[in-house]
Amino acid sequence: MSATGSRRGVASLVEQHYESLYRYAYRLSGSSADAEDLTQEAFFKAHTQFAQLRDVERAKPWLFSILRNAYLHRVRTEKGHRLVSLDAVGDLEGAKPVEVPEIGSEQLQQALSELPEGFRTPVILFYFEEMSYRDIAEQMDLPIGTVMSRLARGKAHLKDRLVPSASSASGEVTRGL
Amino acid sequence: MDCNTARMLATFFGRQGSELAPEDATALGTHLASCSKCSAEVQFERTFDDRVTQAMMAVPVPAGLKAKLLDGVSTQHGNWYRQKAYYVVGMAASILIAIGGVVAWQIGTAPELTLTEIVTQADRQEQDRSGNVRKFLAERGLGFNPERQLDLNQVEFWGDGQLSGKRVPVLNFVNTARNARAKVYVVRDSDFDWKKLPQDGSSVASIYGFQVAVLRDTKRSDVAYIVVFTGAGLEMFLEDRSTASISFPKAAELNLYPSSV
Repeated sequence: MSATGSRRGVASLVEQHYESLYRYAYRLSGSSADAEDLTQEAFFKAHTQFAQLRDVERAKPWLFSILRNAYLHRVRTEKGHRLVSLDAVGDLEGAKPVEVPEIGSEQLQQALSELPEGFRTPVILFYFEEMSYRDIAEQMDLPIGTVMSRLARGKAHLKDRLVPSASSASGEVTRGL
Repeated sequence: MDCNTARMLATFFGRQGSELAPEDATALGTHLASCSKCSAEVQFERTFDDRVTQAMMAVPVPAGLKAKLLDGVSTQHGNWYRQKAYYVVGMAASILIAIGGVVAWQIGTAPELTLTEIVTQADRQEQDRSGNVRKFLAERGLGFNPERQLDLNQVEFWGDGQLSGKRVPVLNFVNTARNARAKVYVVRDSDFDWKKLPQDGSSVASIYGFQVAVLRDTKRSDVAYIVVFTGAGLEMFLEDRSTASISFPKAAELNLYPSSV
């Protein structure tokens, strides 16, 4: 594909997907500045790798994949980020259903940011993009069973943080990994 | 279906209901219709999912982001062209430098030519002209045995030349005293079907007075010597009669095709 075709193609992708990509970046990074940088970086890479996009219908997951890789590249060098251990986070077995409160955007972000990336990403993709388990597995290059397991534990953590009484039967959550 | 299975299925129900196998979805529905506790839990799950989705999407997108991204694409595009241009110019410069280097190296390492060497070579060729011509033909699997004894000492140049699109050995004879020239093409059957050349002494017009004679090889039936010559006749290029061992036929007996010009 010519450089002009590539530019037009990426410009079209920006038009269609920049909002989704920015929101995804924000939920991954928890910072609007980082989200903006990541979005720019993702489209920059999409421009240089545009010839690799075989199917335009798959542009969105392709862009998401590029953005996630860019994010992972950044966080590899970051240390000291406080994450929770999910070892003690159980499922909802025995949980007593309660009324689900309204959930604030920042409140959700705080709970998401506590999750390790490997758990946070499937949760974001599950809710944000309503991706199927299979699509998430493909996106993260993981077996589908692993995705389901991580998603269950990630959701359990969110319930614990966002609906505290929901996990009263599952014990205390250990924090500070 | 028991409550544990129903809760497990409900947990992994997903946002897309179709992910659950149809039989599992049916079984789950049946169980939920009869189990208020599980039904409440599933309702809780769905409500929770809806609330999280709502919060997940509540991310304000910066106002100028789209323009910034599009600008970035254009800038990157311009950079791409600049980089390409630099690359092309750089490559062209590198190639020119390389070519210049090779030429300079060739000039610097070209062997010297001396007058002595040139004259020595000329003397060597002159001393054994006949031997050199025979050697040249031998390298091509040929001898030199025409039915009339052409004088190899008259050969001024020999090499491979073109005859009707084929490269064949060619000898250039010059009789300076009689101002006559001849080109002798040495051909095989496999080069040309030379035996079909007219044998009746017919001729074709030539602006410069060229004539053609075909001499057979005395030892090989597949080889012939096609002589294209100027001057009074083929005799101009033959060895001295005093040294020739054969008797020459008259011109009419030869395959000579004098020009009508």
